[in-house]
Amino acid sequence: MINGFPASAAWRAAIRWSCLGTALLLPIQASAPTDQPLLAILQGELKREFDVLKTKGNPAPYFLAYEVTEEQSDTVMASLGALLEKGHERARGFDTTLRVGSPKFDNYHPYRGQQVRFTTFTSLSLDDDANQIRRALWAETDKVYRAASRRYLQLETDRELLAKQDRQDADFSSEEPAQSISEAETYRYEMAAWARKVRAWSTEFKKYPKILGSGVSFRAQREIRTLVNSEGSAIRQGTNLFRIEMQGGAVAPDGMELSDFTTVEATDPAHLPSDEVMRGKARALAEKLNAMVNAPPAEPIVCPAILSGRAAAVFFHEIFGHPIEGQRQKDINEGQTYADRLNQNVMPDFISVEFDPTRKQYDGADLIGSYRYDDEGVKARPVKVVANGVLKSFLLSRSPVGEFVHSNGHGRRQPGFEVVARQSNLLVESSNQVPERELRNRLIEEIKRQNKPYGLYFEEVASGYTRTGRRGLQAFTVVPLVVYRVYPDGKPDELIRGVDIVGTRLAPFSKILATSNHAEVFNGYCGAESGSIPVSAVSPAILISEIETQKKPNSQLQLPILTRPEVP
Amino acid sequence: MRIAAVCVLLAALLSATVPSDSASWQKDVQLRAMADELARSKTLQLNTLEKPYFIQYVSEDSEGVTISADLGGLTHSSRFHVRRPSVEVRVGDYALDDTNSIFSTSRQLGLFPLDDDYGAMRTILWRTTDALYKSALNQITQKRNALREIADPDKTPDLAPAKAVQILEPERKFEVDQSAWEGWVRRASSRFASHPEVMRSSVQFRAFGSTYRLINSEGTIVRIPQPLATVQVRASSRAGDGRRVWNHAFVIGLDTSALPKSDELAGLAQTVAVETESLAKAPLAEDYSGPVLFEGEAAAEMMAQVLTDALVVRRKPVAPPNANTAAIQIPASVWATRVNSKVVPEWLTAFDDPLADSYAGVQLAGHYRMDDEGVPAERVSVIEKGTFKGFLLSRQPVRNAGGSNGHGRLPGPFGSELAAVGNLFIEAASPVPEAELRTKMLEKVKAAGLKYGLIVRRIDFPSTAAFSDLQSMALQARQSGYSRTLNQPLLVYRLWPDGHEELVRGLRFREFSAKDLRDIDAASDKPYVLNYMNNGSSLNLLDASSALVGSSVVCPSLLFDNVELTRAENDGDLPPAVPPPALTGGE
Repeated sequence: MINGFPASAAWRAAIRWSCLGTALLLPIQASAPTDQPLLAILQGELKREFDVLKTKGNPAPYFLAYEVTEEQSDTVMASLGALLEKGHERARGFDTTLRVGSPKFDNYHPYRGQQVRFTTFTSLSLDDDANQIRRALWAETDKVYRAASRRYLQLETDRELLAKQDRQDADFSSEEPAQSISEAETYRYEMAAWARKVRAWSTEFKKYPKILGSGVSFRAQREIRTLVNSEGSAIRQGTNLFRIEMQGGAVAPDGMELSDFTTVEATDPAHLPSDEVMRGKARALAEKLNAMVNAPPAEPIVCPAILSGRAAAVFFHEIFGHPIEGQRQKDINEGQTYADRLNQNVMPDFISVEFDPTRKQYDGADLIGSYRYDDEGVKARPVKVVANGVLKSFLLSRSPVGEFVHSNGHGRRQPGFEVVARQSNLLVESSNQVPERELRNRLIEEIKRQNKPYGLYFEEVASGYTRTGRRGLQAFTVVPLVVYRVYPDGKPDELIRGVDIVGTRLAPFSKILATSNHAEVFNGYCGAESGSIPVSAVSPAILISEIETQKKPNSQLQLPILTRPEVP
Repeated sequence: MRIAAVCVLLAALLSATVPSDSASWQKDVQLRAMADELARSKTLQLNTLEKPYFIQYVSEDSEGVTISADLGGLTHSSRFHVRRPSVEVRVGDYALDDTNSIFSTSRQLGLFPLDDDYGAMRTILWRTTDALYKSALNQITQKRNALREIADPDKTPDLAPAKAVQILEPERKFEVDQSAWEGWVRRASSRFASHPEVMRSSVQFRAFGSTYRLINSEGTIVRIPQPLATVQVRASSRAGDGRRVWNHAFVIGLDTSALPKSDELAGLAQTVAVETESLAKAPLAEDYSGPVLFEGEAAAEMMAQVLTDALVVRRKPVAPPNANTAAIQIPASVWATRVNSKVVPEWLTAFDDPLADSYAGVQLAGHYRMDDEGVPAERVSVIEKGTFKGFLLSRQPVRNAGGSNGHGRLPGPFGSELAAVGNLFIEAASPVPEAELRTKMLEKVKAAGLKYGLIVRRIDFPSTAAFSDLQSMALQARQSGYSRTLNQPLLVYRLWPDGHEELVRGLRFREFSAKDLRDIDAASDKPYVLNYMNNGSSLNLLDASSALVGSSVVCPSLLFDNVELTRAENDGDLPPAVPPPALTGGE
């Protein structure tokens, strides 16, 4: 879903794959980095809590971790040349992970699809005040310990009441403790200057009275995470994220709501495009949205199509990335689409897919799904999940899956949520690459071969929706924003509106015929069980022999009765 | 009496100095954008459907600072500036419009530009007005359909007419020294470091400076400041039996000059810490039925709670017959049918006067000149010599009560504005000195054959009760079969016949409402000024609603013949397995 108009509350909505949901998270202030007082306080209190609970607790914990997240952010947002909102926030809080029982069977054990959440994001002093931090850790640990014990004791009985399943995965993997302290770069940026820029860019929408709502925002965010656990890990790492979002909304004459957006992300403000480029993007967005108002509505069709690199990136993220998250192979309520397909062909053999959180850039573009350690303190590493079409691995947190008894560094979360396996930077590689122009020719050939009136070109897509549960249809819907009909007879491409792609999970991959030789980057926020996290996906454009589309629901919104006020 | 005279004079002065030339509001970009778009919106008409009969635009231009600290560590510090528009579009007429039915929705909120950008403002108003006009058409049809099936519908009109006024007060600059307050709040919170028995504590400072602009299709144009500032100190602990005790102190004023700073703030935190520690050690109380003395703060808190319930009418929205939604189960005022009846002893008088700005040197947080519907504040006589005279009113008509008396201050349900207390004065004709109230109580204790009497010094109002406390309170009330009670008393003392006091914990009031005010036996000669934050929620639960106004109650200590209190039925928690970490360096 896209929030048609940016507003601070809407920004916090966690959306499965939304480029619009700006970071949630809870801002913070960088604390004095020199002697790591925070780390020392955390370690001291962790040891004290863990030692007592291990001796006196029944059931006794075998693992305890604290993860402190600090965030500092500055935001400006404008519409039609006027500043609507500016904000500065800083906050610091922590998450608690406590495991009772044993790694083989503990309080996190999956049971009938229950969503468990023991942690609560709890505020901490911004200025390393030992009294406040210790007391907060103590009170929260007590709360989490009680909840963990309750569930564990219940599980001990309940598992006896269930029929045994084939798979008997353990609940927690053993990993080497890690120590690593690093600081995020400190950048200077002038919010007053950014306010001027977003104002200027937002004026581009003024020229189009059919665009009913529009907004441009800039957000600078610095985040530092500090993690300690009872195994001796001590990790401190930081990230910077600078993000420009532009979006607009309109209504077609038949009442269909239309929207489009564009975003730019960078980890260094120097990597952001120039003023000229951004103004051009705003203009292009406004022009396209305006054109869409009068574009013909889509009709349901099954036809060949090209997904642009950015569209394909979302496609892979949704229909492949989510299903191979480790926990989905374990939970009896999950579809387990890929659970038994290891070492089998899941895609054409010219496609390989890697997740690489250690990769910071692709072709000059910053990747926002990068990190050095995951939220369980496991070192990030590249993971080849598909090699020449064959499924090789899942995305893994410290929750073991079958033969994979160790994490591969993909345990992630938004503060306030429990860690599960999540995506990082998805990279699609292809050994069947052709130049873009050639890919288009292949599309036209395919249209003719299938005797279809036209094919489709998906230029831009937005939030997808993935259902991985067993109940209900397991389907994905990525929401195309900018789609063209491509005619086989040389007629110019035609912009259409109101297209939805539909399909089941496995089928589409077998229908990839070829890819382009130029990959594009899509950065966004992905929402799932463990909250909203930054991810990237990189893919070349793909040619698909068959894609099924449906009509988007039409909310039959009536256009405003009066025209937009005429103002100078 | 003296106060009343001052207020009349003040009102006369104000009305004489109010600038009302149309030229001056034209210089205000927000008002001009609102006026120009309003003029155009009056022409709205969808096909042959009805036009709006009333349109109102409001902009709340708010700046604010929030700072929190806990045990000497700063946990939050932020500053904001937003402009929030609110648009009201009514179709139908004053007698019957689209509001006051279960289909009616609240007014749209979004953001208004921070820049004085006339065009951007008009664009936002244009879109919002259009959307709200369309939904008003839908809602009035649903309401008319529901009414068709009701045999004897309530004929009370939906909007009271109001005289057009033009009042423009200058904008006030919002100035708060954030870093100074950070220091004061942090230091005050560090006082708790010397009180390890207090398990949780916090000190919070909030200051808002808001300029309220309103313009409506009746010709009212208003620009008024709406400031509010508060500090709150909160603490909780666990008694030996594992039961939670909690305590707080609030100070509210119209600006930061009314708030304790530096040492004074630290002293307030210290007091709350000491009280909370004493509470944790105090014996668990027993059920009690007998004379109760509400002293100072507690008397005012009790009055604030029961009179809000009695003086503010929440109208039952129109609903299809047999509809059984929670929305229409709003309890009626206990005095709904008691206008001109005797409701309290005849030596008691009460009036609400928002125009008073201070009392005995204390700034009154409930002071305002214009309410949120652009109606000038009026002094309202509520109780005259024991007889109930009438309700506090917004422009939402209530029974035969007539038009607004300038008390519409909080957003209400179903498109209405809720009346709220301004400055409520409770006066006794024949007061007695404080000490005499204690003597009187002990006489009653003796006569009733009781061991001791109870003094209540603080009630959980506004309420900071934890969710579990509220749950248990609701359950207890349901089991005993009553629907109205007072928030839990926080500081309750046994007064023994020898005159010594003993703090007890864990008491709750049983059934209690404004009806019980008939049992007031005596009042002291020392009025207490309570300034409080009012969000109109049931129990005045802190943080239950983001809308906030300041209110005041000025009330002497009150002795009741008989009040029933019962022991709170929560179970105590086992203490944490790990002892609390040691605290260091407390002041």
